[in-house]
Amino acid sequence: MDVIVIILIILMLALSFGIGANDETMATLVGSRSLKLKYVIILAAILVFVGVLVLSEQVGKTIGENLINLEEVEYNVYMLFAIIISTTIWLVVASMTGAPISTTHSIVGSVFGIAIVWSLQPGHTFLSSMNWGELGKVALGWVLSPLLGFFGAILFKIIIDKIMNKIQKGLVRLEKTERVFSIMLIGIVGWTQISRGGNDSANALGIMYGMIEAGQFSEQYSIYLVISVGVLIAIGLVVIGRNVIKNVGNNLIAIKPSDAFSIELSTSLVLFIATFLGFPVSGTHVLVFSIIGAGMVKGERPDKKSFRKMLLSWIITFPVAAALSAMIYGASVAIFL
Amino acid sequence: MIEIFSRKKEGKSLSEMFIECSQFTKEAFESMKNAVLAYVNGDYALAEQEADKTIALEKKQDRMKEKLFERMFTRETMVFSRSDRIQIIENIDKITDKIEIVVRKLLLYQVKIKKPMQEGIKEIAELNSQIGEKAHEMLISVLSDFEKAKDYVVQITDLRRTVREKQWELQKMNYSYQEDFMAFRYTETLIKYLMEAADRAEIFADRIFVLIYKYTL
Repeated sequence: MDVIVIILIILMLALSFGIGANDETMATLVGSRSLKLKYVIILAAILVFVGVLVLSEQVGKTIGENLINLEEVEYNVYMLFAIIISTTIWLVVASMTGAPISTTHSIVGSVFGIAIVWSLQPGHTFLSSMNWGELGKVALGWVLSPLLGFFGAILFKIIIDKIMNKIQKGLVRLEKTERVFSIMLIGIVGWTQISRGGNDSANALGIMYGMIEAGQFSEQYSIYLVISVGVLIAIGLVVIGRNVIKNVGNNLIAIKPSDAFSIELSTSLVLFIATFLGFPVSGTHVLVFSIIGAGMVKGERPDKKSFRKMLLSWIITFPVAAALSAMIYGASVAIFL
Repeated sequence: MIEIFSRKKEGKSLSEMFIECSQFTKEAFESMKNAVLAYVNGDYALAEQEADKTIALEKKQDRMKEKLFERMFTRETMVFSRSDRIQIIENIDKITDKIEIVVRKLLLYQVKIKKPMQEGIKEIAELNSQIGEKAHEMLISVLSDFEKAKDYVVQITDLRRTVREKQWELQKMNYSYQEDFMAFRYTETLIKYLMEAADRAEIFADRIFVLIYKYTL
């Protein structure tokens, strides 16, 4: 096996760890006290593993490739290294602080970084380095994700509140109704976690399927790598992911299971429609703004400190990832090319 | 999963324990009333007996409170938040504490209360007992019907206002009738403590009112 293949496998596993570390899917289960954190972490790890095994796409997808103008730029392995390493580092660092960030945004930032370094070379221009159409869709997603999540949650929260108003009479009935919502919430979030396991692992597993397509890796061993990716995502979730889950679930607004249900309903519907229409929206942003939308209906404003921290992490994701990948790719160019 | 969602241990649900807790307060109000009536009528033996009953009820409630706290801090997950539950228990407990102070006062010293004031003190004790009943009904209602609970809040507030008016009347009479300083001072504080028991019940009712609005959408 080539050294390059071994390095790619190691990077793929590291990226899987980073993806798991920043998975906040189950945050509302913790925030609504439907399940305790330790059970949520165990459940999330199992479900994400199931998702990777059952739903991961079997297509060769090179991370960041669709954002680069391949007619002008020759996508090489050093670019791939720079994107994976910078994305992984930023995912892990952000997760350690509890900030839920978008993997897509980190990748876009990283691609920008390598595009800048590439354009510094003689005869290259920055304008010709990127696939601006794809990038425009991503940028639109940045604006659409929060808006759709926010208004979706407001709509669902109002509907659920109307239903709750008819059902509830006293605290005992309220508790019982909320327990029903808790169970439904576990169902809906569980399903989201499985599908997210399948979707998110595509960034990592795409590297492996790419190697299989290029004949660098034998397909008969692929199942071991799929299992390894699943395990590493689960480990990332267990080791660091709790920070993000706790932060999103507990620190924005007080969430009841019925609130969480409207939040999750909005998030999953928005993601479904966006995927159907081909808009790359960020699940993280949709979820966070759904929480804020539900809070608005309840008359609750998000905790300023936590929200500011999240916004800051979203804003700096792009430049930090770009700077990291530019440094890594720049160093590679200087040493190897 | 059943274990995680289990709310019923030791045969009693949390709501049943809450109701039992407020039942103790209701009974304490009743025995306090009996003790005050007996004291004012000069039957000190019966007053002592009823006071002891009240003190025993307060102790029972303390044990129940400990059990409730223990239950709340084990594995249960709740919509009706822990801090709100704690506040309810603490409020109920504080009412019973005030009731205990009244009956402790009765055990301290024996004084002949002047005739014109006797009826007023009996009336306040009777009103307090009614407040106890309403507070108990209010707690049951907040668990089953918010609208009913709101009505009880209003009734408790009205009763407490009547107690306050009576209290001022009695204090005024106290200045006119009780010539002996010991008797004057004793009667003054007895009325004040009876008033404070009603005050605590009103604070509890106010807290319930806030809770209803917090949990009503």
